[in-house]
Amino acid sequence: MWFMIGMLVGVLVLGLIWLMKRNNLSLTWYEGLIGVIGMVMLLFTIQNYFGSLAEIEPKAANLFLLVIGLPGIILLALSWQLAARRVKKA
Amino acid sequence: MPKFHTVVGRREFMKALGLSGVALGTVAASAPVFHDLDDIIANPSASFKRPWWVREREFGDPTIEVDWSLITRQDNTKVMVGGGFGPVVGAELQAKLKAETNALQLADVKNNTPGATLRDWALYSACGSFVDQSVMNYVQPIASWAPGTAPQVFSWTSVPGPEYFGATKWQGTPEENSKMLRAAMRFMGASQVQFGELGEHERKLIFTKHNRTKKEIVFENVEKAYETTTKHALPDKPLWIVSVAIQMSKELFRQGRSPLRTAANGSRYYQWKGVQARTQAFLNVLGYQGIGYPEFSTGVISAQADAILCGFSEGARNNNVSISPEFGTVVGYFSLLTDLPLSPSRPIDAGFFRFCHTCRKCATECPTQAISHDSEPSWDIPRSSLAPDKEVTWTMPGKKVFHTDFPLCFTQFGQHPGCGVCMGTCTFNVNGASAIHEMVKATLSTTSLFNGFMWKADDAFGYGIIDEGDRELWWDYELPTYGYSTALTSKHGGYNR
Repeated sequence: MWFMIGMLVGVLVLGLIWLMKRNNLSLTWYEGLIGVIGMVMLLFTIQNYFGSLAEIEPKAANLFLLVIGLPGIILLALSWQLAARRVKKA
Repeated sequence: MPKFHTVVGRREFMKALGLSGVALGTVAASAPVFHDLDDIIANPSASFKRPWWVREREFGDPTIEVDWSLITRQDNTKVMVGGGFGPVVGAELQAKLKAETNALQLADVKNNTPGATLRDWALYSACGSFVDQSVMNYVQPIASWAPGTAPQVFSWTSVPGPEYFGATKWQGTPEENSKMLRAAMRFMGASQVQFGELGEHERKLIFTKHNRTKKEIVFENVEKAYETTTKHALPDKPLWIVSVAIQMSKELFRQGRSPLRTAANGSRYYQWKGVQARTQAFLNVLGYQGIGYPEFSTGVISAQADAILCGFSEGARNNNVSISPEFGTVVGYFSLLTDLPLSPSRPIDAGFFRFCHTCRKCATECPTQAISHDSEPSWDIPRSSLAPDKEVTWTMPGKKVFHTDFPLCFTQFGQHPGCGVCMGTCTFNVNGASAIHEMVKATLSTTSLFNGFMWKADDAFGYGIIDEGDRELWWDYELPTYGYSTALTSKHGGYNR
């Protein structure tokens, strides 16, 4: 499973880099950092969500979504919007 | 017009949040949730889970064609393993084959042929000989445990020794012996084994009297252990401890005070019976002795103390329990003594006992409140709240621990259907699928800074004893054989994934 997730993340990151190069975009250091933190939190959530379900711990699974997954998504959204707004402004 | 403190508009933010909510909701909705027993019964997956490429056929129509008109009931004495071989091939060929294979067996041991050395035959003798047509079949020592009818298992020697093979006793370094015994015992059913030397200190852990047989346990100047109607005699010579862990079902221990929990607790004992008998047989073939339990539940030495001293686990807040990095609290420990020289394993520090200084989950959940809530362990053993005028006789001083009020504990533990809530609810009674557990263990092993947070988080995330209404759900789970993962400490073969 983690091989597939690794492949998927690799493809997504490569796609993102390709898109940014094509559109002549770049991330500031803090946009990149927030994005990476968000991505790590999201992957951590996915692992622990499915892990907890496998462990028959549904409450733990849902709390992982709430406590780590939601902030992770917010950080990713924040990174994206920061970059988008900066580009739009420029 | 410059925008002040935000570059993300409220509208965009809410839109992103809405998308996230939809995603989270979809994942949550896809999670399998059963609400009651009816849900389970209604679940179509009454069969066990198969790969998608396995197709089911019609009843009575396997891939091998069957003509029921030709099939009649079989006399099972005519099949090969039922004695049918001799009458078909003749007694002469049968005797010739037997003589040849027996000679080959002896030659292999003599020549140390890879795959057929003395230790290989020892494993065969312990585990495989009873399914073979060998001359060295042995009597199963575990046929019965009824008092008076059971074979003497304390120092059981009902298998041929190395002399049967024309060999001398097995010679290996303590490290080689330890590796060999670990491999053999894991194969025979032990979850893991550790080793210790029965030195001057450890001899103090040998009981003076056995709790069930009521016999004295004594050291004597003899070569081999033996027992009479009044005593279990141990040889007064260098001996080593084999500390054995046998896991139990974590899911069943989360059932609280329930016969299901007690079923898990009992499972380790019937498994231990087989492990002990086969280990003794294995050692006997090698020319050594295994000194085991005279009856199913208790040996001659404190197994919990051995587990800690031999590096299986650390002591816990409940000082009748210890915590293993691999197995947590839901594991039973047993001890066997042997004269096979072994390499002692060292005690461990994974931060567990330090964590127990902070965490009080077991103490809070304990139905009798027998577990100490103190912040620091103590040398002094308090008297039981049930009998404050009685001296402490049920445990030994000399260890700085959190002292459980055992008479109080026994008002639940010793009554039907037993207890074990402390083990089931422990912060370390977790499975291994989520990465968070390894991170928590690595963190608390490194620093005690987050111990309080970890304890509270474990509680908040719902780990531990499950709700009473969910307890029958266990029957619908597809759990591993014996109810636990046997691959936790395996390194080779790709099983521990």
